[in-house]
Amino acid sequence: MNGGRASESLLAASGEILLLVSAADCCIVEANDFALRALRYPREALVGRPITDIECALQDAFYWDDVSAGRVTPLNEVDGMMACGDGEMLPVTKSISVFAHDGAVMLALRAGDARAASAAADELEASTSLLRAIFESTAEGLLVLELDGAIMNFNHRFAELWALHGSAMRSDRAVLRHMVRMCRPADGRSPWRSLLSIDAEEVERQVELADGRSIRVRARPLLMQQQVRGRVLTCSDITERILHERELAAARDAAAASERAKASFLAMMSHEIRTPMAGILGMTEIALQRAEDGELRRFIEMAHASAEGLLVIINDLLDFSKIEAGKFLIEAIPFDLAALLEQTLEPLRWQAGQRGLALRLERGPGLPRWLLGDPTRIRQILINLVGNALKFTTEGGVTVVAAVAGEQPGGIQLEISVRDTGIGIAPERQQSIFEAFTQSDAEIGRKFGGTGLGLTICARLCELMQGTIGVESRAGQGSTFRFRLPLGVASEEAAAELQADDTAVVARPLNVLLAEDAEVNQVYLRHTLTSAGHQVCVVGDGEAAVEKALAMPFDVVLMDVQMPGMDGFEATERIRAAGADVPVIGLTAHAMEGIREACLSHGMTDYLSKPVRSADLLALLARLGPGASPVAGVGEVSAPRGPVALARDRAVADLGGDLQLWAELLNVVWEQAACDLPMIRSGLASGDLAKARYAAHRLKSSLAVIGAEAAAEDCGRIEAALRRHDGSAASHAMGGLERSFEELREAASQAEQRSLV
Amino acid sequence: MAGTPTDYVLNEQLRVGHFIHLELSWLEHPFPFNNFMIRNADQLRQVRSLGIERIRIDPARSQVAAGDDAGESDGPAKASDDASDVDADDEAQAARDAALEEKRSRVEKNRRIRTRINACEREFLEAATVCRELSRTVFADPPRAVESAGRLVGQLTDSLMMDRDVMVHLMNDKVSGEEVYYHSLNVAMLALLLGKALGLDGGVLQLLGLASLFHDIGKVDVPDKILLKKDPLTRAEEAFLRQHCSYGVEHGRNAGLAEPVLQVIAAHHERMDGSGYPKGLKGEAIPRLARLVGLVNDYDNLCNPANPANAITPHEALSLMYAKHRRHYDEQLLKALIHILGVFPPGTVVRLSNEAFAMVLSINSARPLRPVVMVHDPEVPKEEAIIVDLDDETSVNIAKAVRPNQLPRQVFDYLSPRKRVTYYFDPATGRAGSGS
Repeated sequence: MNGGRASESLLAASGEILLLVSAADCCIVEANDFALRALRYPREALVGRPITDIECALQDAFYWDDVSAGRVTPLNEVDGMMACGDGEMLPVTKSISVFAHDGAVMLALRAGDARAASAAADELEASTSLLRAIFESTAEGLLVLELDGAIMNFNHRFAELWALHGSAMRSDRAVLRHMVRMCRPADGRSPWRSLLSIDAEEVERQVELADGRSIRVRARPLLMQQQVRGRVLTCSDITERILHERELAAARDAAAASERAKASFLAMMSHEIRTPMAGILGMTEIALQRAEDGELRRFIEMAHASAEGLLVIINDLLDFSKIEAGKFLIEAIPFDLAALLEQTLEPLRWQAGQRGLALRLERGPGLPRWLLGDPTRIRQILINLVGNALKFTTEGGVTVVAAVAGEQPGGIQLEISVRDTGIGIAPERQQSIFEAFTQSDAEIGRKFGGTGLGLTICARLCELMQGTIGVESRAGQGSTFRFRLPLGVASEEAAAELQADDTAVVARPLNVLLAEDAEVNQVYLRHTLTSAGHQVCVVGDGEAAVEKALAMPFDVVLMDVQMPGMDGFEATERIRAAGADVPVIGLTAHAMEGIREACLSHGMTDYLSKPVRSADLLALLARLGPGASPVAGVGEVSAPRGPVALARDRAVADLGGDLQLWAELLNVVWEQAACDLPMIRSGLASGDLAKARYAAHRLKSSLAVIGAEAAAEDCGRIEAALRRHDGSAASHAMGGLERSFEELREAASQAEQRSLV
Repeated sequence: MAGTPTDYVLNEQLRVGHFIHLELSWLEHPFPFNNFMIRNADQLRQVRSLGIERIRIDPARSQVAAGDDAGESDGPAKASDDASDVDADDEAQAARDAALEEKRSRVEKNRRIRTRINACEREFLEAATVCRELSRTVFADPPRAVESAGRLVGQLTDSLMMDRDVMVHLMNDKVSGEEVYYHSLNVAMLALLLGKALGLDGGVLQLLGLASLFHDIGKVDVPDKILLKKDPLTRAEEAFLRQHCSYGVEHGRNAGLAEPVLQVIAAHHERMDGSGYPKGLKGEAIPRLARLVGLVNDYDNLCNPANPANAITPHEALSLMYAKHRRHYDEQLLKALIHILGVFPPGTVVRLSNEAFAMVLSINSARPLRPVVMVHDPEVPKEEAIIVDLDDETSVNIAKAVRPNQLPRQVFDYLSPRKRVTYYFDPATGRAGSGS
């Protein structure tokens, strides 16, 4: 009994459910205390109860049926479910052992509470399904690979993106093969090599699918406990985004193209407007020289003043447009500050004098003579400020002060102030006067005129030169405009070089006889020559030319070949016949072959083709100094020189050194050629000679402007042939044009590369 | 790397207890699975005879005794090689041939099961069509509806009464492209199976079948708003829904259904412990056929509720009914149902003892614990998935049921658990029929 009690105590102390079941009727024979507590049954309710009331997992139904039928088998550590007295279900892990007791088969059921494990499993399931929900709800396609390339998982979106179904999902390998096959063959290395590599790198590639879609694939290492365990591929369809970007880029390109077109238009306009303006100014000047005092002279003076005013406005507008379009280039060249100031103020002094005002220039101490900067723009600012000051001042004067405002490495801060004793500017307006399209008030606009852009341009120019501009003023007490620019101090060598160049360009003044019937050319050439310091005598026909040339000692005769009455050739022959050896330069608009021979054979020293480039003319004249053998000198300059594909520097010089303008004109020419060349071709092919001739003529002028000599000449040949109704000669010349154009393109691209360097 | 799931051993290093991955097509080896643990010398010999030089093993799942390493057992192996090299090779070759032959016959059997399931699906579709017709004609032309229902039940009963085991197949819920689910047909199917298992005679089965088909006929008077509501019903809605029993009796009487059928319609929601409705009848007060229909009706409602998101797996449904709701049901009937459907009724996703995932496709009601399963094997295309009759494959058994949302993604896609669990029985196969 002692032993029995001891074992009973042992059973009672057990932390497991222990039930003894009789195999005969499947009823509970004995239960330990723990079982009573865990199952919440009083002993009398539990003992004698069928075990199937307690054991309630589906398997148990089969198990206890087998036991009833005599098939008794032990169980080891299997999952089970027990119904408690209060209706609760208790998940358990149980074992059943079989033994015989007093001749009866008994089963000992030992069960442990599995709630913890089952709760953990539930929790695991909850977090797994949460993870799964997240995995599935992301908008991106996800693929998780093991290191050996086996697929751990992918989401629906992934299958959708890669059109994975049926046989494509046959195996892991098939999935990857299918993906690679979906892609358009990549140029060069396949993106998959790096995307599927087994390293810790994060890789992003865009792959193009054969169906036209673009997929961005990001591959990241899958890290578990700091170790790379696999790779996660994130895929998103970026087709739409790319299309969108392309549309944006197209829109941007269109905008840029339209911006370019606008800039080219402006460049053309500046050229187109300035040329007739020069004509108007030149003509009114000539008229003034000839006009008697009186009403007519006053009219012409007014016309001249108006034209000058208009030119200022136009220049302002064009400058402003160029600055706004970012097309304004600032130079850094050596210049003589004192000379710049003097030259700039000289004409303004005259203007001041007219109005009874004083214009003074004061120079502060320590100003270097040679500075590095953009003298043209500094002059522009100064003219603007002084012009304004004069405009708004009725008595007193204007004082310009140039001073060193500070030192900086390699240079100085130059400050120039313009002080007037004019009407002044109210404080509230001082802010806005440098902004575009504001004049300090509408009344002033009406009273003094102008675009109101002058100060804006000054401010922008200062900005472009990294400088500042400002104003101090009190209404009625005058204003002081002050601009400050950081400028380099030029070295002596650079300055010396510049001086040498100057002497080369500024030639000895010559006495020039100009025989030219076209008035515009008269004005232009006279202006060019007098600006360079030469003296000019103009005659309008061949007879007058012969008369003048023989009557007075000229250093050189510029002889237009085609003049009404006696032409240039005949006039030259007569001059030579009279024994005069003055150099005669033929001017001809016909860039035809053999013109040089024709000129020489008629006794001319050389020839220049029209439009005459000022640089060519001046360079030629520069070499006709005294003592130099005229013929030899001229021969040297005009050594037989065929037309070149692209005489850029000459063309740029003709455009007043404005390289930017030239580049813009070049673009205009490309656009024009794209239209005119096909027009010439089709005109020639269809026999519409008028159309072809018109196009050739138009293209010739443009080509000449940019210095495309050879192509321009070819155009001239086509035009000439068509004027003769000689279609076959025109077609032949067209072949030449096509070749010249090729060379031009080549030369232009080289020129552009040069200017980039 | 330590713990890498894939290691390789040479053919001669292979031991009993190694868990191997056969890197061969399923038809190139005689085993039912591509991945398994070598259990005995026979299997070891067969694997070795496949002539694979390096065999992929999973060390984590292998159970090779520590001392039982290559060098130690090389001796006897070599000795036998030396002695009767040729004989041993021949023997192994013969064994392999035989095994492959067996496998081919297994493949043939799989094909037959597949064919049977396909045939069943066609029959099921026909029956489903009749059901659809029924719901239309029962009010327009009640005698004709009752007659065609009678004919359908007659066919079902006839095939059921043949002296053979009955296979219960899971129907693909996307047969012919549309989702077909007919609660009344499902209930009729299970009720007749259960009736046959209980030994009911043909006449009673006929009544049972009719009662099953018409048990919810009163629901036509309940607004769809209530029937299809996915959220829990309000008390008023619940009360309305409960009226379908009495409405049904009325409609059934008008259609001329027999009195026992009307009794089932009236009492199929009564429960043994008196917790049912409409009358709260208890125990024997509920007609037996009504208890039977009520039982399978509950099972089907648990598997296929109005809101599929609330569905539980067939295994869970039956477990719940057995463990928690046992008092609602006639214990004899409940146990009979469990004996027909087994622990893992068709439609349940399970984990096998070799750790493979599988879905229970069919069950032979005579051997409910060893169903026919479709096994997930990534090496085998889904369309040709391995189908294993666990009744043949005694080395493998079901470890436990798995909830579909616990499945890894590819397994889920591969096994594609049904949204609707629909059964159809097939008396033509089973062990008795396998000889024919």
